[in-house]
Amino acid sequence: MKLAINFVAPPWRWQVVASVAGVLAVVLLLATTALVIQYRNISDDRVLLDRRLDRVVRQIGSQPQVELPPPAERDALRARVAMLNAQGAARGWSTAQLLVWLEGQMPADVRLVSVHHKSREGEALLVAESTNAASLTAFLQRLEHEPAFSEVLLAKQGGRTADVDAVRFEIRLRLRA
Amino acid sequence: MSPSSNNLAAGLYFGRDSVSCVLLRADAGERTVVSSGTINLPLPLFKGAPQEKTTRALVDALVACSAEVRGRHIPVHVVVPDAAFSIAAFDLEQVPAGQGTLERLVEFRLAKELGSSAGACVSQLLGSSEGKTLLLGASMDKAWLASLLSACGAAGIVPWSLRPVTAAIFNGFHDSVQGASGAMITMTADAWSLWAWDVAGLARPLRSQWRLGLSDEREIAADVERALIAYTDGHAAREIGQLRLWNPGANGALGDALDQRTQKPCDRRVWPETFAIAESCAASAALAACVMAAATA
Repeated sequence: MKLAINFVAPPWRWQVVASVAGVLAVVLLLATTALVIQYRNISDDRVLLDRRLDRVVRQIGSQPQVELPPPAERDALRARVAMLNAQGAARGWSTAQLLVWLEGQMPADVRLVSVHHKSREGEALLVAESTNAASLTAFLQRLEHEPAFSEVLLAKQGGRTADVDAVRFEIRLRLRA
Repeated sequence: MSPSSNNLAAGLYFGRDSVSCVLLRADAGERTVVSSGTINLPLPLFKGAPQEKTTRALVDALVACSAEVRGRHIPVHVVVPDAAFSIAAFDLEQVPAGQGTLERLVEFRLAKELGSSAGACVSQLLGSSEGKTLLLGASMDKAWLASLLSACGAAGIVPWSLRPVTAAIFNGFHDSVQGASGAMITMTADAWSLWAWDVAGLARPLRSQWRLGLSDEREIAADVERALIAYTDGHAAREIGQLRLWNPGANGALGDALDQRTQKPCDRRVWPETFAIAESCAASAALAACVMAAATA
């Protein structure tokens, strides 16, 4: 075997450097070619897009121009819409909220006969009955203590009859907005 | 740029007392020595630690003898006498994995067996010999290596390789020794070395020393004889089929002294034969460096 011991690192082989440079040049050439092809494709797409844009601009230009009302009239219109929206909106609790409250607060021996909830007016008419008048009274007090109701009115009270052994309260509620 | 592309190669020989530079041109298989020059140094190299004035003298000598090489992109191959290195071959049962481990092993073994101080180490796995793996290790004093390389840099020369002179010469005739064992004595004006190789062509360094004087041939011959006897006694399969002497320009005294101690006369042909510069061992060594590089490039 030949003796290959050597105490210095050989300098760069210029053939290797030239080969690497050649490979890099080929890679750059290929990349440039790909970029040129891509640029041409983009140019073609741009022509089509410009045409579409022109067509859209023409369509917009051909539409009749609608003059907006003066600012004062627009403000008045906006105020009216707001007022109508406020009027049309429900006041106070929704029916579901009212029923949930009744489920939780109504005494066990009190039966709810009917509920008529006018959400826009913020009023509800309850008919409840019980064999125990004290339970109905307690229920009425709970209604009065609930902050969500601005007014609790016992509209009608029915006593026991020969057919029905129960006391019936007809209660009118006004809900807070 | 390879020698084949510009047809030029240069060899530099850093001897202890001289520096030699040879520029070789190879055209279509024809090799021509373009220029050669040898400059004697005022201060010896490889003696003690390198000093600034030594390096300066080395630069001056390089500038004087390498005018056609400096500043050109020519492959320059440097050879240094084997005596400037610590070289040994180790028979390993197991080769350590990793180049770092190998270098540490070489450093340790060189320090243990040759007493060399820590230096720049290189190694080469030569192959399987006598049932073991043969590892060639060499180290060179870092300060002197740096001094040589800095002198080259200051002179505008970029070495492509730096190796012992015997490595260049052995590689030159390596192909012709396949299948035949032998030994080679390389002698220049300032140093000599002895290497032996087996039938597989695996070389082992046996001796490398500075010369004591110009008339020390008899002592060298006796040392060679002792080293070869020790080598062949080391293993039953070892033998010396031929003895070569590379000693260009010498008066033949060493060859005569060797012939008196061996059964058959030593081969005194100088490689590269057709280009040997008879008047200068140093120039021949430099020539061998660049011819070897051109042949193996």
